[in-house]
Amino acid sequence: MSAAYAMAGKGTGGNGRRAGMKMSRIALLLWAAAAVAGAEDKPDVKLRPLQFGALQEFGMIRKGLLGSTPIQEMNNEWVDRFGTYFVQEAVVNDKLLLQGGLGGIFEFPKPEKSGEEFGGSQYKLFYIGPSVAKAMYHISGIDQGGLSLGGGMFPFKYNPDAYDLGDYLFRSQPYPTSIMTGGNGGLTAIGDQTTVLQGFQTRASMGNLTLDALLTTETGLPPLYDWSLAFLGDWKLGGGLLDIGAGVNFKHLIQIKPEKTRVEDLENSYFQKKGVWYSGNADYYKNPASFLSSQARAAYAKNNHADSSLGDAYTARSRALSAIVDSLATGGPWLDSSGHVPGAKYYTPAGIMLMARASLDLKKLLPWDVFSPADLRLYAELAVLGVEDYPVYYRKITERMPVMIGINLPTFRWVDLFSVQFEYFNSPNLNNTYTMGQKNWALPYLPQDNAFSEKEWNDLTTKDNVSWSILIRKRVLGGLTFNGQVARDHMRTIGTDWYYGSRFEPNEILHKSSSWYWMFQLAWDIKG
Amino acid sequence: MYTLLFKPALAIAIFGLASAAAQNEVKVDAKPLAIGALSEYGMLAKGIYKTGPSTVGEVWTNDWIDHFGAFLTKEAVVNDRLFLSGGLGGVFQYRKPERLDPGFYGSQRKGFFIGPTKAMADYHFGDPENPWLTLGAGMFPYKYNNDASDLGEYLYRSGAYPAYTMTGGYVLVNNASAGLQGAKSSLRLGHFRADLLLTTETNLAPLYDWSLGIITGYSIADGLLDVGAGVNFKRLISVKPSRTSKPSATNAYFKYQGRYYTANTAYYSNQADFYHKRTTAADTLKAAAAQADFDLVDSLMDPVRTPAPPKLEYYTNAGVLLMARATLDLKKIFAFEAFGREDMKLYSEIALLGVRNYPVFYTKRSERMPIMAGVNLPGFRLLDLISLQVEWFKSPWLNNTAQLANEAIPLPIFPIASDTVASKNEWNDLARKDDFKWSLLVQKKIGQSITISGQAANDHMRMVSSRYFYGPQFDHNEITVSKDDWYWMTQISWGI
Repeated sequence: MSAAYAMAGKGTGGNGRRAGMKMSRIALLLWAAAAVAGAEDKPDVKLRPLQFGALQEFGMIRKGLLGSTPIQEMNNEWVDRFGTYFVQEAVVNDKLLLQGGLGGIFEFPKPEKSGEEFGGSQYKLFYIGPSVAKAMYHISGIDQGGLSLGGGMFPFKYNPDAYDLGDYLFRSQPYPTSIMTGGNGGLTAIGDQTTVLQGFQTRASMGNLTLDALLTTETGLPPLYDWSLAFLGDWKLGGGLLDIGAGVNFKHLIQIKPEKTRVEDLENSYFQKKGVWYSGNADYYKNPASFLSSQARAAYAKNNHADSSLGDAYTARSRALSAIVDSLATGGPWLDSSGHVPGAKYYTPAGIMLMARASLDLKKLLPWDVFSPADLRLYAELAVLGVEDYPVYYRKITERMPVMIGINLPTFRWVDLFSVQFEYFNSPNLNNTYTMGQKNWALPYLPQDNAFSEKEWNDLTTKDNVSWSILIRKRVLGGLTFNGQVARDHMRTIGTDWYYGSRFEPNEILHKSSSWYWMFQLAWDIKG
Repeated sequence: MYTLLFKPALAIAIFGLASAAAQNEVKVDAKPLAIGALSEYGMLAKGIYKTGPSTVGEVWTNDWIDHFGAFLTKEAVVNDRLFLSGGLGGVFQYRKPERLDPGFYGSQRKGFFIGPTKAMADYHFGDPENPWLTLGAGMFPYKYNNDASDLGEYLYRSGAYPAYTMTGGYVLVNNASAGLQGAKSSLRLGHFRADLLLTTETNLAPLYDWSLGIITGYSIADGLLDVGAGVNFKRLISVKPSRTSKPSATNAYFKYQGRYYTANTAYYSNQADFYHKRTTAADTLKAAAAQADFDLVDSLMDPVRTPAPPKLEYYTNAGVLLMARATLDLKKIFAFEAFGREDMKLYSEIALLGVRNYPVFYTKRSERMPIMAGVNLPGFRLLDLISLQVEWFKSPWLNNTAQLANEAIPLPIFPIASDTVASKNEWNDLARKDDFKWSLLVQKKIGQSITISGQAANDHMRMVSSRYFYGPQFDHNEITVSKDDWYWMTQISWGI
C-alpha cells in the first residue's frame, strides 16, 4: 500500500504517474480480496515441517571467456560453490499458503585476481537472501485446483523439461537479446533452473488446463522496478502423453521511470538518412573501423600484391565507417545543438516476448513399466525475444528466436534423468548485457576488443549459435541427489569487475560453440 | 593431464556408487531446529596490525573487540542411516584496525560474515547410533584434538610453505576447530579410530586444490592415555599446477657457485635498504652483503647481462604435514569424584608443517615444528574447564600469509625497510620474538543452554581486516606477536 502510494507520488512523468495509479489500484484490490477472504476470528494455522537442504557443486570450465579488464580466455578454470537453505511453510484455514525461506550460495568471483588489498578477489562471496517468501490464497483450498492468487518473491518455472536450456520467457531479455541459464537464480550451474520473480501471481487450474497471470517487478537487470505482465497456459492431453504450453510476457510494460527505460541519449538512438538507417552510437562504426584498419595493416605487412589489394579493401571499408563516426561527432553535420540527431528515435528494453512449448511422453505409448518417470520425453520450446523489429540492431524477428529441443533418454531406472538438449539461436549480437549495466541502453554489446573478432568485426556472434547440455541425475536414499552436467550453455559466473544486476559476467562465459564445462553436484534436502 | 582425467573419473565413480544406493521407501526423522547465539567482547591489550610485504606494521593498545553471532541448524535422519544437516549462521564484527573515513575506506561499520555453519550428508554403516563406518560429504567443522581448546590442532589450521598457524576465526573463544569442505569417512573399531578426509581448499589461495588427510587415534586403559597421529597431504591434487607452484622468478630459487639464492630480489633489496639506513659498522657490512646478493641475483636474472641464466626451481604451496598428539587423563588414576570431566588432563601436540626442506627459506624441519603442551587444571565442578596451554614454534619467519594473496607465492614476507615494527634492531627481528605463545581459557556451563567463558592469550589470533580482502579477510599477520602482546576476551553463548 505504502509502496504503491510512493510510486504514484514519486513518478515524474505522466506515464510514471499513470503507472503508479494503476499499481496502487491493483495493490488495493489484492489487499481487499485477501482481507475479505481471510477475515476470521481464530485462524487455523498448520505449520508444516521445516524444509532444508544444501548443495556442493564443483567442476571445470574447459574453455571460456571473461569480459573483465582485460578480456581474457579461460582454460581449465575450476569452479566451486556451496549453498544451503531453509524454507518454512504454513497453511492458514486450509486456504492460505505462506512460505518463507532463507538461503545462500558461497562462490568465488571470476577471474581470480591476486592481491591482498581491495581489488584482489581470492575470497568467498556469500549470496544470501530470501529463497522464497510468498503468500498464496487458494479459493477452493490448497491442491484443490480452481483459482489462487497471491504474491511475494518466488521461484517460477513453466517448462518442467527445461533442465538447463529453455524456460525463455523469464530468463531472457528482448533488447538487447540475452539469455541466461543456471540454477538458483544463476548462482549454480545445476539446479532447478527456475527464475526468481517478485510480484503477484494468479493461477487458475481447471482439469488439465492451467493458466497463470503474473505481474512482476524487474529486480534483476536494469532498468529496475518496471513491471511486466505475463500470461501462460498449459494443457495436458492424453493422460500426459502430450503437454503443450504457450505464453506472452509484456516486458517492462509499466515503466516506473520511463526516461530510464527508454534512455534518450544519442548513443541509444536510431535515425534515417537518405533512406538508410543508422545507429546514434558511434562505437558501432568506430570499433569495426578500428578492426578493419588493423586488418589492413596486417595485410600490407605481408607485402605482396594480393594482400595489398585486400588491405586496400579493408581501408576503404574502414574509411566509410569513419565518415559516419565523423558525422556523429560533436559538431558533426548530423547533430543539432543539443547533441542529438533531429527526429531520432530511441531503443527500449521493453518488448513483447512470446513462447510456445510441447512435450511428448513417449513411454505413455509403450506397455513396459521399466522406465524412470522422466524417461523418453521429447520436448521443444520456441520463443520470440521481442516481437517488434527495430532498425540497425534488431531487424529480423528470426534472429531473436531461440529454439530448444531435447530428449530424456531411457535410463531404465538406473538413474532418474538423462537429459540431452540442444538450442539454436542465430542472433547477430553477442549474448551480453553490458550496455544495460553501462547506461541502461537497449543495445547489443559493441566490442572494442579483438577477442570477439577474428576475420570480421564481432564475428564471434556467428560462433555462438549452437548450445547443448547433457544432464544426468540420480536421487538416492530419500535425500541425496547426484547430478553431473556437461554443457555449452549460457552460464555466467560472478564477475570480479562487475557490479550491476546479480554481478554476473555481462557475456556468457562459453563464448563459442566449442567452449564447454563439466560440473558435478551433490545436493541433499528434506522437503518436509 | 593426470588431474584433468582424474577429476571427471572421480565424479563418474561417485555416480556409480549412487546408483547402487538407490532405495524406494523413505522414512524421515526430522530433529528439532537447533538455534544458538553468542556475544563476545574483550580487549586487545597490545598487538600489531597490517605487517605485510608492502605495508608497515602498526602497534595498537587497548583496542576493544566486539563479536556477536547467531546460527540455525536443522538435522534429519533418513531411513535411520542417512544423516543430513543444513545450517546458516553469521557473526557481526568490526574490521580492524578501525579506519576513520566517512567513505569507502572507512571501517567504522559492522561487517556481517554469514554462511553455512554446517551442511553435511553422512551415511552410517552398522549400528546407526554407533557406526563402525561413516561416509559423508559437505561443509563441516572438524576437530581431532579435543584438548586443543585454543592452541594446537595444527593439521588443518596451518600451512606448510609459508609455515603459518591459525587460532580462533570470526569468533575467538571456544573456536578451535577447522571448517572444511569435501568428503569425510570415519572408522571406529573398538578403541581405534581413523578419519580419512578429502578436502578442497576454499580459504587461502591458491584455491580449490584437494588435500588428503588421514588422522588416527587410540584410547588406552579406559581413556587414561589417548594418542593420535595424522598426516595431511596438503594440495595433493592440484587443480591448476601453475597456481600451486607459480613458475615465476619471484617464486624461484637456484644454485650458483655452490650457494642457493632466491630469485625474488625483494628478499635482498629489503634487507639492504634496511641496513643502509643504519649507522653502525656491523650494519654497514650487512648492507653491503645484502646489496652484493641483490646485485648478483639481479644480474643473473637479467637475460641481457646473463644470456645463460642458472636453472630455476620453484617453491610450492603443496606439502606433507604430520602430527602426533597424546593426552594423559590423570584423574583416571586418582578416581576422585570432585573432579570435573575435563579436569586433570595433561596433553601435548607436535606437528611438522612440511616434511620437505627447500633452499633459502625452509632449510630446517625444526623451524617448522610447533609444539603445544597444556594442562586442564582442576575446576572441582565449580568451573567446567580451566585450560592452560603453551606453545613453542621457532620459525625464522613471521606467521604471515600475505605472499599467498599478493603474488600467490609460498614464501614468507620480506618486511620493507620502513617497517620499524617488523624490523627494529635487525631486519625481520620481530620473527624472533614470536616463538612463545600461551592461552588460558576458563569455561562454565549454566544449566543446559548457557555457557560463560573467559580467555586471555597471546596466540595466533587474526581479526577481520579493514585493509585485506583475501581468504577469510583476516589480517595476514597474527595480531599478538611478541611476549608483551596479549588480549582478554569474555563470551556468553546460548543454544538449544
